Amino acid sequence: MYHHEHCEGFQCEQQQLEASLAQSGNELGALDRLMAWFRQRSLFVLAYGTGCGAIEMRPLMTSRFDAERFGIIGAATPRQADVLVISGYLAIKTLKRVIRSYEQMQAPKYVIGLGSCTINGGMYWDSYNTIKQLDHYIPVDMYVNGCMPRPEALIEGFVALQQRIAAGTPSGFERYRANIDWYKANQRRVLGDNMPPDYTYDWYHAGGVA
Amino acid sequence: MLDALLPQLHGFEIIEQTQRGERQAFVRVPPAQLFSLLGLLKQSHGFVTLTTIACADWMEDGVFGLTYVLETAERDRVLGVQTHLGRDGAALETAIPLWPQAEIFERELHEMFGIPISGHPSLGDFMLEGWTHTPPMRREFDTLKFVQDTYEMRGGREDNQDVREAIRRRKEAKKAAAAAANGDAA
Repeated sequence: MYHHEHCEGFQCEQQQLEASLAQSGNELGALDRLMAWFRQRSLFVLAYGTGCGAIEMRPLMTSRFDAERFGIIGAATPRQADVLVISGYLAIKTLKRVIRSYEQMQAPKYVIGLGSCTINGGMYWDSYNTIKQLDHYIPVDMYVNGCMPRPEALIEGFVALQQRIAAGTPSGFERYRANIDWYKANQRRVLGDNMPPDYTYDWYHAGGVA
Repeated sequence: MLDALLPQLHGFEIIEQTQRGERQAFVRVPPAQLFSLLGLLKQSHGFVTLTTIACADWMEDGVFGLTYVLETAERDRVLGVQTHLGRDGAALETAIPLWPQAEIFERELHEMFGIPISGHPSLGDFMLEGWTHTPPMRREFDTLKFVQDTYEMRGGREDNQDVREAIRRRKEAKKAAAAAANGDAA
């Protein structure tokens, strides 16, 4: 008979649920630790699907995998969301919308790249109309690979993200602000004159005041 | 199906005709006669539905092969009306007066193949936004070169191994093992 030492797939979920509760977070002060704990336990995910990966979000959010156990729940608008899941290939036309949505989200904000297409283009590596490396255009906090990854893999990605938040790791938005010129140059390279309007990142022109 | 239909199409120059089974056929006419033939087929012969406009790029012949796929209301007959249109900017007359849904088909033809459509009211961006390069479905458009010029590919992993090499080694090991076993048996 087949025995395994560790849990597998969905059997790990209870362990994952409890794991982040027992974290020490020594390097953070008491208030920061409390804030991080609040943040990691209420991740609002923008209800936005870009590619075929969006199909994995339905079982994740509904009763089969029930992501609300982890504090993960859908948000209707970018301004209410904490997490943007880029679920699959990103056409240039969609990239423009994604940048706009991302810039409208309130910090702290996180991006999860779902599927191989966001990592290296996946099966669309030679398509003229999809980007190949998502982290050249917006900062990515967590990649979940696979084509498509199962909802369990996505839960693992979320849990890893929660552990990062609990540990006080700066979100990708810090990187975005620090390297905004590099990101904007990359975006301009594929979008050309079609850049989204810049009032969604007006802190850039206002001297870094968010 | 063509035997019954063709005698009724007086005055049209049928360059090519193909019957595929009982219910499906194709006819090819010169571009100048296309619009009037489509109108006649719709008004008098029951082909009321335009399913799609297909386009193939015959670069060697210097033409686009267009196929208007028509269907009857009873869904019992399908007729493809074909025409060959010059590749170098020959204009196509719009079919919107006959079928409103041709608006979006022709916008796609315009964007993907660069065919100018005369009489079309809204030839704007369709699926691509601000595309300035060669229309991507034309065969002279080098997709791979465009991708290499436009995007940066992610480098492979540092421990990246050549899978073919590993498979070849495994096959050779298996072959050697089989040869050794044969030697023992002999």
